[in-house]
Amino acid sequence: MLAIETPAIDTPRSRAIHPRAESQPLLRATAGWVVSGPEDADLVHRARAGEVEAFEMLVERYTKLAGGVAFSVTGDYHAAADVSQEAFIKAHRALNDLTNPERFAAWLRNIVRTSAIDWVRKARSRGIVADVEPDAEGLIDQGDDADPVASANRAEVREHVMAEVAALPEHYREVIVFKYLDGMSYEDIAEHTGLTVEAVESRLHRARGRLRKRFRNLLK
Amino acid sequence: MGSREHDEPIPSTDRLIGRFADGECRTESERARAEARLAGSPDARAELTEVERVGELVTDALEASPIGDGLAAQIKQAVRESARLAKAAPEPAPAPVAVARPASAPAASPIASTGWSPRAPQLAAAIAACAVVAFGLWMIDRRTPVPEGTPETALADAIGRWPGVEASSTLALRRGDQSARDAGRGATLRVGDELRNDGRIGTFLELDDGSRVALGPGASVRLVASDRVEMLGDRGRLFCEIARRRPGQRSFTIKARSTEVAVLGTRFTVDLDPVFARVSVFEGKVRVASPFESDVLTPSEASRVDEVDGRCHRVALDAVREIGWVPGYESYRPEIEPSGGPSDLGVHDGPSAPTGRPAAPSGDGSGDMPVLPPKRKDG
Repeated sequence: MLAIETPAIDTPRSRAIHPRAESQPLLRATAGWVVSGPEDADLVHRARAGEVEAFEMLVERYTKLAGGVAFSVTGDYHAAADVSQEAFIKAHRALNDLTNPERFAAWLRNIVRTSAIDWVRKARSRGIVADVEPDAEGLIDQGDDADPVASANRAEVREHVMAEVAALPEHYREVIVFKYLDGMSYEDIAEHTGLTVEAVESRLHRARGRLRKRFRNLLK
Repeated sequence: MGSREHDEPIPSTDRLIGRFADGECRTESERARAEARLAGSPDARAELTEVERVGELVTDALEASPIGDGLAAQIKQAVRESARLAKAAPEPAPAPVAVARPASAPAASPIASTGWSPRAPQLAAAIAACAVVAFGLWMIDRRTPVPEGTPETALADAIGRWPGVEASSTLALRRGDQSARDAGRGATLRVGDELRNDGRIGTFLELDDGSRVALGPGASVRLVASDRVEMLGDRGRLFCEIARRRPGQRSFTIKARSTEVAVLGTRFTVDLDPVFARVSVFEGKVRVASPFESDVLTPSEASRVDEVDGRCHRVALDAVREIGWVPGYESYRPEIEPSGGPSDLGVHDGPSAPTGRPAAPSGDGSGDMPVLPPKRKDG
């Protein structure tokens, strides 16, 4: 059962994307992706030349984008992981077909989305799809908690949270995952969804509103 | 509710707090306005706290999930493997001719009789005119297509072994375009291998990740990847003892005809029949979903999905029936009669049909859990 008492979650990531006023940036000055290191196009060219490490940098850069897209479509994070992997392998094999290397992210996103839609279609056509909802300790990384009770408690919370996110409508799930998995700005999300920034903001607000209602016990 | 929700405008204060929480204030004055609002309104502060807390919860859960931080490493490994296999793969050739046999050719071995065709390398020139026809027959005979992206190479990785410790166990192995042969005890199992249990009792395959998959008599599988097993044919039984998946590790998948079961770490059986699929859970928690509904199964529960109506039907778990054939679980099937040949236990007569054997005390579907042997710890 879901525990009412929840452990405090204070990951570096959550701090990084939820800056309090003292560290909050005034403006998001960058539009689109904030890219550090080589540009995508450069990595694509190097990968085409056979440099696997270059493609791995693209994997590092866009895994969360892929996972977010796949999870948005499938609503199943295990399937999303599989779909993401499959999509990257397809992308690697088809790298020479990419006409505009600067648009690698958008190209990859389309591959992921297509693969995810395929997965959904196949899943619906199958007589049965079964996957395990494992015991709490097996669902998600337990981290380094020394306290097994707190650890199990956290796992239950994560399981509950993931179930609620998965239950969101796809258009809400999409913005939530982009925002909180990849830390995208409104502009980033808009670019990757084809929405306006205002629409992204509205969807995010409404999606969070739903989650707040569902997380009522966790937020006390 | 959805349209009404869309129609309602977002209150300006909520929008302001949301932007502040997201670091999305568009101007200095907007940020100052948000700070002033927060300073003067407990409700606004509570709103901010909740918005941030939701973000923390979601971020934490997403990052710890299979699409979180561990996924990139998993994908990189898969890409490397894919690239390596692509380099190692030979040029595409009209290989089907080599493994095809004319429809009139006698089944020279038990393997051939069930659709695994013996190689006929010397016949190519003589029966060139039959090649196209044979290829077509071979394609029909195979029934189970090779999944997209499946590595096909003679250099495929070893992913486990077949100890063959069960008495009189016999395992047929077909690798690449080679003809099927006796695997031999202790055989190394590789990606792409096709295996069939020709023995009269179940036999275990041991995978390197610690998982074990028992093939029922007559059951055939293909090892698609280190964590993917595909059942071949329309019937067969598997008992799966899947090692717990590490964070970020993709789920272990059993594919059987149109059925796919993805698991993280549990013990269960999949029983395929032309008209239904039944999943019985002995350990762990399994969600069974059809196109119309889903059902969560806990230990000692079973669900049958009807191929016709696509519905999940709860059925009593019959431990005797489901695992009595598995080596090490014979005590649940004391009246085993192995003399009927491999196909006897590979054919199922429906979940509610009598098994023809006296039920063991725990196998009456009452919900009592059979006591299972402990999992191996050396995986």
